Amino acid sequence: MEAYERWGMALVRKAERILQSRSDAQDLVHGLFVDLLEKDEMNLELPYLYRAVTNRCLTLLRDEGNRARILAAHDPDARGAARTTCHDRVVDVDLLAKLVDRLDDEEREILVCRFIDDMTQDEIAELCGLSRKTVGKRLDRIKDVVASLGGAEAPS
Amino acid sequence: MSARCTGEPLSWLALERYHAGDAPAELRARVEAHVGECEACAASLRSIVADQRQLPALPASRRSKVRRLRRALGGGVGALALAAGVALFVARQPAPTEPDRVKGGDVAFVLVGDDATQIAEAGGAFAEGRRYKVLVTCPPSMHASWDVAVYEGARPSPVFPLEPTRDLTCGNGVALDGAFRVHGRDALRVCVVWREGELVDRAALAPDGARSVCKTLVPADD
Repeated sequence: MEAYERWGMALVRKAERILQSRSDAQDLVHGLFVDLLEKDEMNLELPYLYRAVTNRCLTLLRDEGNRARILAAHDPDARGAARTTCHDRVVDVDLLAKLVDRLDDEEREILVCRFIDDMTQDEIAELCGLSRKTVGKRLDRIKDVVASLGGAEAPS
Repeated sequence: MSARCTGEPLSWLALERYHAGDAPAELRARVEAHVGECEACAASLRSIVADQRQLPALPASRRSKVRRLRRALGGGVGALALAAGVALFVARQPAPTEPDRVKGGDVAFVLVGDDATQIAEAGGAFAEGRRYKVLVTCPPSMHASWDVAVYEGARPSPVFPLEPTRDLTCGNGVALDGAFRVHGRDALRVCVVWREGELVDRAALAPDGARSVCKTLVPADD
């Protein structure tokens, strides 16, 4: 499958930044492509696959059992360099685990896009099919939730 | 690990597209200009370039697996989709005691490995480290939630390797959501559990009306 060869490792790296687990990231991406193969979806672009990986990672983390296992065994180095922060807090798997049940689906995806994938608001708007204004509102709400968890309060 | 960007960081998506030669000219120019002056983003790009890992192969012939299963099951097979391996977590309840097949209940299951091998009978051999998908055969009129409980060796508590499947459209060889990997050298008792009308209650498998069908599996000889 051409898309797997072309984008597979980019997607594993993305999943690793979210889950901070190399084995889970690899399993997740492999599983995604096996499913796509089953559906005969062959003409796949990276932005579409990025969203699919985000959603699968978040689904994995929303399960309490998976979340506990990943938090217990995560590798901080797998997060990679954090160039974007939320209230000066790096959004890593620890913080993500605290946020997944406090945000809705759209907010969770935007959280990952902005603070793990380091996308601009314009990129998020284009990727998710939202207006920039909507993205901005969702980010404000995400920042409020992060602030409510405590920690550094200086806006990024 | 945090690194200061000199301005707005380049997204990982932009860096990946640049690395793969998929970036349009405008993006390519923006990446090159930015990494020329931003060490944080340059380091991120270098980390992509330096990653030489290889991915495991996809199943070579997806459709041939389905054909093989159709022959084995004597009928149509539902979607055969391997999903990500998921965590095993432990609950405490006794193993279901139903026989290996529910007599007259018309519910059965097979395990299909990611190499297309299948385990249809109790006493079948599982391969260490292999990922398995569960295919259930159930009456089309049946509406139930489904779960899989795995009892390892002499442990009294099962693990639940899959997310529960709701609203399964019953039929012949219908795949439950997800897949799981098996490890170890102990025998396994794999039970497919269902409950009509409601979610299976993992904390009270036996008394809550959930039914099950189980197979005891043994590790394959090396």
